[in-house]
Amino acid sequence: MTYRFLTPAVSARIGVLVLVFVVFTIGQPNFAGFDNIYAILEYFAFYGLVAAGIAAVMLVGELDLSVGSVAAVAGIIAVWTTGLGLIPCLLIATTMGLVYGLAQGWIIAKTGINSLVFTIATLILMRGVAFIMTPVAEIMPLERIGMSDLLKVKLWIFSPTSLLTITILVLLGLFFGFSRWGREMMAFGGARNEARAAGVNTRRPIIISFAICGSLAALAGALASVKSASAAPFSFEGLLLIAVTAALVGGISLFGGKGTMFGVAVGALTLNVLSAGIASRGAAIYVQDLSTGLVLLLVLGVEFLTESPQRRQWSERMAFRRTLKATRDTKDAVPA
Amino acid sequence: MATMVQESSPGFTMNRTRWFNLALLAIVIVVLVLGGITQPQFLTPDNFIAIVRAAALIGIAAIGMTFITLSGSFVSLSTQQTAILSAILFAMALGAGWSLVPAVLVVLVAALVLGAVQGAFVALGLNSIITTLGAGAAIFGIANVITDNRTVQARSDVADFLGTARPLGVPIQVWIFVILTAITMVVLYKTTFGRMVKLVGSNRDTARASGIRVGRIILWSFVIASVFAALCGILLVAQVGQAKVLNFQGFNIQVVAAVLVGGTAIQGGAGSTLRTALGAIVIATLENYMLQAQYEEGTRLVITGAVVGIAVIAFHWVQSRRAR
Repeated sequence: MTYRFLTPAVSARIGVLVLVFVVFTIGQPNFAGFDNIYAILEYFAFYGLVAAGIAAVMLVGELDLSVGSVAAVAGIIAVWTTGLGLIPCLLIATTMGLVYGLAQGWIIAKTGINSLVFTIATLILMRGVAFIMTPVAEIMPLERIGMSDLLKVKLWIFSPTSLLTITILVLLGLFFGFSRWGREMMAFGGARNEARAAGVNTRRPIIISFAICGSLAALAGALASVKSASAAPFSFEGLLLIAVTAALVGGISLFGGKGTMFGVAVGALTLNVLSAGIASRGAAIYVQDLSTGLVLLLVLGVEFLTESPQRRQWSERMAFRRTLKATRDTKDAVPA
Repeated sequence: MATMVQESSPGFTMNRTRWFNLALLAIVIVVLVLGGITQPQFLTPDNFIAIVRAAALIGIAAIGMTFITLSGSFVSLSTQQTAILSAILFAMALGAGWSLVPAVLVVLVAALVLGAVQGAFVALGLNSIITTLGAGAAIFGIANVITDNRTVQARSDVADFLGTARPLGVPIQVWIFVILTAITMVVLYKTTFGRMVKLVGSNRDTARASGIRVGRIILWSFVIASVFAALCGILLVAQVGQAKVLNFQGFNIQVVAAVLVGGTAIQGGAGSTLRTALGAIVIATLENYMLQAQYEEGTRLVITGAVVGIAVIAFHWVQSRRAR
């Protein structure tokens, strides 16, 4: 099996990333400095994980709107369990996300309810769970603060967190590119009926994708909370917007079955460079939200123009309408 | 396509509608009775007014969103942000000394444009949830930029009347809510546009084959939703006399919950604004009761989420049985 790493679509996205980076470096040489790149990669470690989870769900043609709430719950669990050590607390939080994702995926696959709608309910539910767990915020005891530092150790421009994210993205890329279940999910997302006819299990892809999304959102929430030594029930509300935008910028198709994890990494990085660049010019935090929203709309427009099946349908419809009109005109012209 | 028509034969839908409306009313009555027993202040006239006022704001936005859901575009996640921006624009206009009518008109036109842009995106075939998520972030960003995180004061006697007057003992918001429910019911059931909306939602291919401009219907459904959301912003400013970006917290969730609890089929095609109105009353009554009983925020969210989840699953189950 051949696996094309640098497809034209991905190369174009790398070009955009480099361009954005260069634009912000002009007049601000510090932007390309060691510390800033380290900081950008720290953001990437967080958003990249969630974007990869969302991408897994989008690849099978579904969507999970509840990632922010899950991350908040996982963050609180992680801060609670830091007494057991760094690895166990991350594992416990991630396992919660995994179980949650499996359950959610199972219900969606079993009932066939639209995931957009079902995850609105779980979005509300999990946010409520977070508020029940801690009404205000959980703060890590002072003697365990060292754990946060452990996650921030500088290894050249990387930290353990960003290395973990990169490893997970590589593993996911291999999973979708080469494993049987991963290929099944891509096929299922791209053409459900054909995949079903070819004997692909119709529930497994949905359940696995939601499990991936739940665990990655939980892991990201846990890492971020341990790193900041605190977890608040209202945090991560804007996570969904950024993760979806990153996945779309990275070339994951909203219509399922198209995109790579490498693309997602590039997309998340592009978005993080953009936010860091805007912040470095001293803009208020809401300008970053505004820009993310605009980028999302822009990417939607571009996707429509370049690759959506809807556009094909749309042009066909327009052609059909023209023919229809022409036929009508000729009919009218015929004297009764 | 022929089976489509048979499936929704009038007698069958009438029964189901009646059954569903009765179930919703039963929920409201149960909550009211339980509330009356456990919380003495729950059944007072003042609290009743508070409930219907809250229901009116949620309801007006939810009625608008029902058009989006009926036409098969799920829901909008930019209702809250549209209401916030509209409230701010309205307060600014009044604060600058404009009189009521031009201020209202300008805000409604702005909302119309916002809705039309989102509707155009969706009409072209883009995912409605993602489009409105992005649009919501952008609209909220604009609201932030305009106000720079300050509260906008609006002093106006006419607006004050709109917000606090009670003709025949009923707040104006509630009058507007009731009238809009009636009008939209007529539009949905007695006009070509209403029937087109439902057909576009239940079967797009059939609609297209019948010569309906599907894109135009979708665009109009977003315009209606956006304008109704703007109306909520206007009514809030009229009531409290000021606007800020922190208004309407959790509004998106409440409005979506009202539509889903009202039982409008999320796949489009079946449902009505009357049901959504009942759904809004259910959500507002529930919220009010939970506040009176001093439930923690977490418990309130979990209960709301569970109610929405159960409503979605139950209605999906009823629908898939019907399709069999």
